[in-house]
Amino acid sequence: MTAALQGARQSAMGDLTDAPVLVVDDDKNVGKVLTRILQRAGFTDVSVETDPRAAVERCKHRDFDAILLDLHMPEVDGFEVMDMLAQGRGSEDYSPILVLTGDLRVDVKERALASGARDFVEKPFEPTEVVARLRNLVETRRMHRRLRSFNTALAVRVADRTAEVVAAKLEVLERLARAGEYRDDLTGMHAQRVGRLSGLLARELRIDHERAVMIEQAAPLHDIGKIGVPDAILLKGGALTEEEVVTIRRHTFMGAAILSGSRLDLMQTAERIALTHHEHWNGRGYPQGLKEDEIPLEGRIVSVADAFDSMTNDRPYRRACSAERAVTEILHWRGTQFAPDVVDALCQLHMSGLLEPSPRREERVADAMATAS
Amino acid sequence: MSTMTETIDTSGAADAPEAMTLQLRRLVHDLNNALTPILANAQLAQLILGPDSSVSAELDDVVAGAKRANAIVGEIRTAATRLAEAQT
Repeated sequence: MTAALQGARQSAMGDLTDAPVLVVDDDKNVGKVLTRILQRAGFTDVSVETDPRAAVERCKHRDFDAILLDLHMPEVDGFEVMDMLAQGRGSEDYSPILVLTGDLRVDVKERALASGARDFVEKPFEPTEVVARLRNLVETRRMHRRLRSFNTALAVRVADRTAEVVAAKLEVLERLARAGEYRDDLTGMHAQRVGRLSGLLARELRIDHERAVMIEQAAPLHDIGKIGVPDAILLKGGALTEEEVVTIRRHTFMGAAILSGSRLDLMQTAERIALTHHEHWNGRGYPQGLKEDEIPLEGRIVSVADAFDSMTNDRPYRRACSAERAVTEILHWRGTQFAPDVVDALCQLHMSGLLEPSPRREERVADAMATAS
Repeated sequence: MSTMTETIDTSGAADAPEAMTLQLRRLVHDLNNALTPILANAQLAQLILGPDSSVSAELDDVVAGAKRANAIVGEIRTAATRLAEAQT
């Protein structure tokens, strides 16, 4: 091999001589001389096709690193070949086409470039130029392929790390919610159940998926402000004094204060919920006496979910009632304490069997969530 | 690839300037294809044998002749382009 043709072995991408190369030219003598040149340069995998349609078929079954393509061929010309090859190629794939032509008018070059050509060699060509241009093409294609592979690996790593961050965030939220409930619900399950029911209600209200998920994740923090309520009041068995009621109602403000100042949508949602989940539709709730649409939707939803879960689970001062009974009770306060549309959504969930305590309830809840998402 | 007699239409239809332009372009294309293996093989042989080869002078002549022919092809191409421009 001559030094002038050795470029294929001297590349930043390593030895390029194993690159599969396809020559497409209707003139078999051109194909022959190109094969000879490329083999002399060290390329070991050179194929020649004189029929353009057969060349396209070949490319469907083999991934060539370079295609040396004649432009002017009878029946099917090089432009049509490039169009056919483009149809089978992904938008991110690198088109490895080196055009061979004696016609290098500007309009011809522009059309060829638009069709997927990467470079040109003018006929009659010099062997060293063909090898140099082919080497550049193969090198670029391999770099492109390596970059794509790197990008794919990077995307997977980013997805993994993002999933870890999301999981960590949710775990922190869950533990924070548990801290708020710790003194009057050792299991911390009330907060989680309120979260889940709030998510179901949000979906039943046809709220967009992303926001419904956010409500579901933020709702467990609704009583985080109870951290600031003294045990003597929070765990008191008997009736509360007026002053104690004021103190316990302050947990809404304290919860909002704990969650305030965050840039995260999730935390901002949780803050709104903590502040407004004891507001009443008729304006007689607390702490601000908001009414109807003044109460953020999240607060209206959690208000119903919190009430339902409190009624259907044992408390130190009373026994749990049935879902049927709880829904009837909440329905009684539809339009006064609770937002009408949220109560209607609760009734719908009840009729669908998603609220009743039964061994299969968890399964049905999971199915409903999967369907909604 | 067409033969030279196919390329040069002797039927009289080539009198039309557009047909003449088209025929000249075909002629250029076919001459290019004919010259390509001659020039490339000769240059490849030069690279393989090196300047001290016993046939070096002969190969130089082949390359020079092919390049001269290529220059003539270029002149025909230019003429075809001018003819096309004159038509428009």
